[in-house]
Amino acid sequence: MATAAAIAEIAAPVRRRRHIDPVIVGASVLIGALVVVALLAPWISPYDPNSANILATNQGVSAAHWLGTDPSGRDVLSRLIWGARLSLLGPALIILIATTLGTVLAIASAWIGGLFDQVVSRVMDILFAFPGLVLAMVAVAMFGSGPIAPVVALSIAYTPYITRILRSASLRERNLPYISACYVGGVPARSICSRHLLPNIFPLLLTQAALSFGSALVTLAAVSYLGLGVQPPTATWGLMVATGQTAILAGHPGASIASGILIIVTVVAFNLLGDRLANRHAVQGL
Amino acid sequence: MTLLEIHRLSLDLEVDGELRRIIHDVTLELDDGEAVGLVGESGAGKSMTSRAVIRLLPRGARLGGEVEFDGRSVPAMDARALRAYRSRDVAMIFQDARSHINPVRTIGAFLTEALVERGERKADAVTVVSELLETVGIHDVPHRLRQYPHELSGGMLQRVMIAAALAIRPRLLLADEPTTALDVTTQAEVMAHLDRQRRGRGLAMLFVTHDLELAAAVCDRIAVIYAGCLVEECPASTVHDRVLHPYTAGLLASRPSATRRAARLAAIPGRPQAAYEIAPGCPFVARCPYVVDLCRTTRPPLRLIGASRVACHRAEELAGQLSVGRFSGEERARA
Repeated sequence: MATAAAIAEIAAPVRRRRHIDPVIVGASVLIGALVVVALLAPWISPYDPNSANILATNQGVSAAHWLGTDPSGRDVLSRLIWGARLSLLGPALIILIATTLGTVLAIASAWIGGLFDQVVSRVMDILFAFPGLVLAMVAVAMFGSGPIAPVVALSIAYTPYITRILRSASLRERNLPYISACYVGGVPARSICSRHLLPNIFPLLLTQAALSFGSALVTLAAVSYLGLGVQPPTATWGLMVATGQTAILAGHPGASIASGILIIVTVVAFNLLGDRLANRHAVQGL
Repeated sequence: MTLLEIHRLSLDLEVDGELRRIIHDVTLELDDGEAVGLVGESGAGKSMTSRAVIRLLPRGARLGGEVEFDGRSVPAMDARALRAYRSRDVAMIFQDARSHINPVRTIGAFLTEALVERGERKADAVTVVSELLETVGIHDVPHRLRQYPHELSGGMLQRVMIAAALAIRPRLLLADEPTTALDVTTQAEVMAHLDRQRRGRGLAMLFVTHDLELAAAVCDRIAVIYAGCLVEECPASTVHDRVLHPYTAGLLASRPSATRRAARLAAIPGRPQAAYEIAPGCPFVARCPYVVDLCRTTRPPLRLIGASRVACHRAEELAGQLSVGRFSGEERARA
């Protein structure tokens, strides 16, 4: 027979623990750590990333050089640490510009509709036709190599992906009753869009930004690898894969592999994060 | 003083590229502080009538006739005037509070938005809405203001909605079936709050419902709408004793009674018709037990009979004879 105490225990309101997804935590910690490393580069890197030492080229792992040295005798670990700065800043800028532009365009075309929506959608369709890498190469050909041209080109290339997904989400939201209730309350369109519509599509925006970040990082690394982006001797991960490859045949793949692995790990972290964020918010339309 | 005047309102919506008539002809007046119940079956056009008053219509809707609020034409308002009208003069209480409140913002943000939007200080707005929440029977207000819509029950949310409508100190309330989505006990409670607040503040109200009883209890006058046409308008006090339109009589006959025993609940024969389906004659012709030839050919105009207005050719003749029994189960079985 159940005692009163037992019943009380069963009936006591269970404080529901917020479910924490270990993958989201893991990916966030990894990304956060990379950002911290990039910020603290001047203090934590053991060597100057650009000081070459021809007496110590292509060294393996040692106590002095934890990840060895590259064909010019530069410390691989230091270059990875410094390389994190531009390798992360580039995609971050791309995503920042693309999501800002994409969100504004998406909400505006869903809200205004009509001809404006048609024009925006068709322009986005045209942009879809150009792969990011091609657009970046064209930009470099026109404006010269360096960090800026590829970033601008890729920002434009990523905008349609954000716009298309957020536009359909905004269209769905704008026809929901709570938006008409705002209308009827006399809330101006500007406020409805920024204070009501945007927060409701935000999970989707976040997911899309995380997924695009991974993809932008790879594309930007590819641009660097091809020598079209940041120029040597500045360190970026993509460039390190390229400079290290001459040593691969000589039997010293360390530099290329280390930077390659770092790129892969970072991209996977961002993709997992985006994926799990999508699940978490049960985001539709992906 | 007349606050709201709806004159020969008609409404067409575009459905699959063709225009479909939703409202044929609705003429209605509301005085300051007066409550009018707009009663009808689903699809009769009652919600659309209330939405036309605040110009919340689907895209491509075509409005005919005139809606005047305090002497100003609502269909003719420009965007700025319309926003001012919506944010100061009228407030709407929707049926489904849950879907009409932004799910990702707090109750406090929802309630204060309209006030802050028109330039009041945030702190003042919070004071105003806190008091309002108290008066509609919500306790622990500071806590509630921080909660999100999913944390509140349906009845609670509907009271929040009522508070939001009252917060802007409107002159006219549009209540579109405010209690239909709630369970019966909550319904009574919410309705009592709404009625008390409305009377206390002397607000006019257009109360849309399919519940004739409820409308008669909280309103001064009742307007019955069928297939997009206003068929009868009468003082709420006479609705049980002296109805003039056969449709109203039918509605009254179809409600269950606590005192009368009947083997079968009476129903109006046939099915409710949509506004675009009706022929040129009287809209109720297909279901009316009192139909004569004239009804099939000519649409009856609204005529003043006593304190009521009614659109029926035989209103005088049938006055006092419209029996509930004509619609009851036994009667039809015999026929």
